[in-house]
Amino acid sequence: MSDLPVRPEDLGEWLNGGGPDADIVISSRLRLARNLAGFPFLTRIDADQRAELEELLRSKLTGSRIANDLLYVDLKKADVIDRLCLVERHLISKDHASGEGERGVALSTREAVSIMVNEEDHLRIQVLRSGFRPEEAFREIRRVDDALESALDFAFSAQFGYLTACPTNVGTGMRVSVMLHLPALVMTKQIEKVFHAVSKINLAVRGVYGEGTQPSGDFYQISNQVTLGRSEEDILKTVHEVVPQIIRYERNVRDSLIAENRRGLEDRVWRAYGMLERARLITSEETMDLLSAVRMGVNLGLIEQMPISMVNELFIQTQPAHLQKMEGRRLETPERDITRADFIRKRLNQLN
Amino acid sequence: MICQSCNQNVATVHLTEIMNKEKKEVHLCEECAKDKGISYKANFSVQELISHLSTSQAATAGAAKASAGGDTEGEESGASGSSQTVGAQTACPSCGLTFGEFRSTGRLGCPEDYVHFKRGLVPLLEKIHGATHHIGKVPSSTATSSVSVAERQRELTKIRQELNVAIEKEEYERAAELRDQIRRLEENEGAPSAVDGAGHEGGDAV
Repeated sequence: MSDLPVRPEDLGEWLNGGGPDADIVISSRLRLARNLAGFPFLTRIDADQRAELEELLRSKLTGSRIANDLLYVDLKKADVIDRLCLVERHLISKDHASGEGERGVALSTREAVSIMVNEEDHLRIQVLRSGFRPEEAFREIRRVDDALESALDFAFSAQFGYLTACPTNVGTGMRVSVMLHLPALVMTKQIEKVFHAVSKINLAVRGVYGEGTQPSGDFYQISNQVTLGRSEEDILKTVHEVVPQIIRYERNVRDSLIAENRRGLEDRVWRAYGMLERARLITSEETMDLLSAVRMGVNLGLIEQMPISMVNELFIQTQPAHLQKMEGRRLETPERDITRADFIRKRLNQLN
Repeated sequence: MICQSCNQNVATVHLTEIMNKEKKEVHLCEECAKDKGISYKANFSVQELISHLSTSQAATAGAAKASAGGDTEGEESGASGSSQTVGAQTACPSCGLTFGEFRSTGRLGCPEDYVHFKRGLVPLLEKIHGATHHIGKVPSSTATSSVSVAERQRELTKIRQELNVAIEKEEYERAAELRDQIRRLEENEGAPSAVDGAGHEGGDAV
């Protein structure tokens, strides 16, 4: 396996569990879609142009002063497990990992910034922050975008704004996604109400790994749908009006669960803890579900000995690619479930 | 395709999940998807959405225009006086993509497509975004794009923002003035779509 600037043992800034409302908001993410004028979009590009584009973007990215520690990963050459590790950390998309041809990603090792090259658009710029900090992410991404714009000529139209391969991204090209942990709303079956309300104001709800993925472990991404006809500030404002309401809703339900049936809730989170502590075989799906309950237990003070940072670590490190990366070899599914159970048990035993 | 859960209804919700490197596809009807707590709207594929919208748009675009009626309310209709849409065979001279191909894949081929397929795209954008004009960041004058273009774009953006505010406040006289200003600025530009660099030389006739 090649050397990745991201080591599975180290977590990125966005997973340190910090930031405002971090008990419910895992991360705030912004992304901008940008394309160069004078090149076709990737759907119509031929092999030579694709290679030329990648080389041009790679040289501009590595030669720029966007971040001191910006490293470029050639995804055409990268090992499949390395690529999946990046997906599990939300640094590249699933499609980018499984894609073909010249493509890459420029990463700041602190993982605040990742810039995908030759994904659906020529550039997909992303900034991640832990907790509810979309403004901070916005300021950072603006800085990166401005820096890139001084070196590159982006396709832009006065009427349609930044031009993108898919008309759903045209305009600002901006997508704000806030990842929320909503176990109490799921448990009390009130999550549907949130979906319903949110979709009325043009926000979308997605699973953890973006479009077309199922929600797992009670994690949901809320993001804007509209990119045309609304300014970046306007889009952020909507997110800022809506997300705190969902946070409040989740907190209220958690409080009433404790008030009405503390023992029941304790039982639930401790059973989850017990399963994780004792299991000898465990799938990543089950791990997500159990960790979700434990995470709520830790945040509500029902489980005291476990730090939240450790919960966050386990979420990432028990994913298939991270597990294999740490083991240093390929593992097939049954073996992986054994390794995962052993890993979790070992980590939890360190607390005793 | 039949729903995998109830084995009765037609499956309209298609999910792909990659778990442990295995790709799992699930096909459900709307009802079963709802029961399972899957927000099918969020998972509705962009491709399906676009091909659905752009095939039904010819009829509804006209209707939307008629209902907009007056001169001040609602969104700007965008394309200057275009009532017909783009034929499936129409191809972009720059990248060769046809509008029909775009409809089936949901992806455009190059920045120029926004000029050549404009009539077809405007009603589609109206449906996706509820708007047809960009508001927000405009690139600062780069090495190759002319300053005056960038300035005009910024000016346009500013006026469009003011227009939205005016409409929100129901100040229709003000809105009408602003709309006239926008028209004048857009006319000055030749065609409203000036793609940076090589793009805007091509005199993008609509």
